Amino acid sequence: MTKLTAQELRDMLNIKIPERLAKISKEQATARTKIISAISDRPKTIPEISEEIKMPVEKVTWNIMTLYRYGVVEPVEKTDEGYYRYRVRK
Amino acid sequence: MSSLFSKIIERAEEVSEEKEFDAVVIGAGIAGMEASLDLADMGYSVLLIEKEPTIGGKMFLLSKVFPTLDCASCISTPKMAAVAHHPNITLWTYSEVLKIRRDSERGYVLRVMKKPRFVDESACTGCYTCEEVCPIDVPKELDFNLRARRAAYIPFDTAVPKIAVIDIDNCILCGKCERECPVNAINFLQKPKIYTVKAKSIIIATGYNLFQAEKKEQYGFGTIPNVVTSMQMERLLSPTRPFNHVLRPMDGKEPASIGYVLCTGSKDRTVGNPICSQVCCMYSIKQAQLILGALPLADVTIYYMDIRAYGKGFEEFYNQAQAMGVRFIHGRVAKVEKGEGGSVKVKYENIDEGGKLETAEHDLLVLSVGLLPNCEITKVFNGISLSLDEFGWLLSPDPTNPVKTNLEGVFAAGCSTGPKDIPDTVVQAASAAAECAAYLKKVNIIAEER
Repeated sequence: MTKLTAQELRDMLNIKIPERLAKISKEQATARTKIISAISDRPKTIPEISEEIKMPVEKVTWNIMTLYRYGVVEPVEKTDEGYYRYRVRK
Repeated sequence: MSSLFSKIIERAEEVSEEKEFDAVVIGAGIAGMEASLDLADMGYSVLLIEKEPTIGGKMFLLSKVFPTLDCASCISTPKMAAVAHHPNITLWTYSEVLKIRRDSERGYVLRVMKKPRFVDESACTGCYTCEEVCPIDVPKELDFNLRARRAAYIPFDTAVPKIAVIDIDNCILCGKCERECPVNAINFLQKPKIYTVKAKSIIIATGYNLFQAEKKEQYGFGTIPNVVTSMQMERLLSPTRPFNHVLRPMDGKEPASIGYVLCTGSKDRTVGNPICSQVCCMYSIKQAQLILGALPLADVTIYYMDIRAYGKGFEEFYNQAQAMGVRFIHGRVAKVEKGEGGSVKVKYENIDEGGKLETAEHDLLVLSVGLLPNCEITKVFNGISLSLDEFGWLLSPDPTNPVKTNLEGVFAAGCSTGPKDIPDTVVQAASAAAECAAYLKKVNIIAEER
């Protein structure tokens, strides 16, 4: 199998992946998994998700909106308090 | 520690073949596109250089334009397509001008670096596969960090050119994009290329920078949740908005009360920008009207020093906002504090109530940020100097010809000489193209006579 150019660049410039990026990658994957799991049983608002998975509400919003952009979640209904409930897109 | 991109820049290759154009236009926002199209339509060869991976500048980020409320991207997108397909325009995106010097003959010599996208431009189909498989999310600059984009990404759906780019400083070189790309377009071994370009004339259309709202500490941007800038609000109101509706960035709640603080970073000596930005009053009034369209029950309050509704239809637009129920409070906001449940407390002086100090609470506070110069390009002029005015905008020394600069054959378009709205920007860009065409004709006649 031909070597990937990504690997070639790593070898050529002796690049080590910065800890910052490795940490971000891991944190993001964990956050997304928790959020998706939290809304898998029924649609929830952002504060409800935040409460359930003990994640700051700003972080949940940022992740939900990114998941929305990439078509993973969708809004289903609005509460009387003005929050949307999100569910995993089927 | 140097970034990976800076290591890659060190590997730049010189391209021996010289390129020649009648005009080089620097900056592919609405002004640069307009000037390029006008010159190209007159038969001149144009090189249009843009430092970002796509053309379009800031206009395509806007929701609508004032006072007509026409869709901004519906106006800019056809121009972007026209630029990309014009036979007389060569378009270099993701490229930077490194140096400009005067040629011994008439004209200029530029050194221009085409940065690597790490994607084969001729092969990429803009299918988004690389973006879908990329594991790294970074704040999306074009949405003013309201959500994420991937390290491998296409800037936006109607980007021109619609070619992916890899943000190498946020890439973990996992190779997922390379393995999954259906047309094998990903190539991490791409190097920057440096070109020598000869041009008879140059048009500077580098636009403006937005005031960084965090510099006005008392307004709480970056420290108090639900304080946003007007450009973030533009994105929230745009059809291509980052959220599913107009929502607070803190907790996704629909705001019932929204406040605007005008003149954030303009007409303000304390932040070094004493001049009026010309567009903030009207874009705030436009946004207020759009909010009432999206959230009919919302209360919108605008805190202002004075409303400058100077253009055609602007006063009527202002009156229309008042008739729709937008509340205008004549007074400067002194301080912003964090309220309960994500709300924002605003302390202000109500001038129409005899200077009474009052406090109001909003679900969302929008800072109407001013426009600042973006004239870094002057630093690349070598052996010659492109003059700036006292506020840092390009100087147009001849008041009867505001598109001329102090250098022969170098013209200014759009906001490079000062803040302007979109129609004025387009008019000035067309004027710069006309002046440039007249100059090129003169230069060509002189050359023929020799």
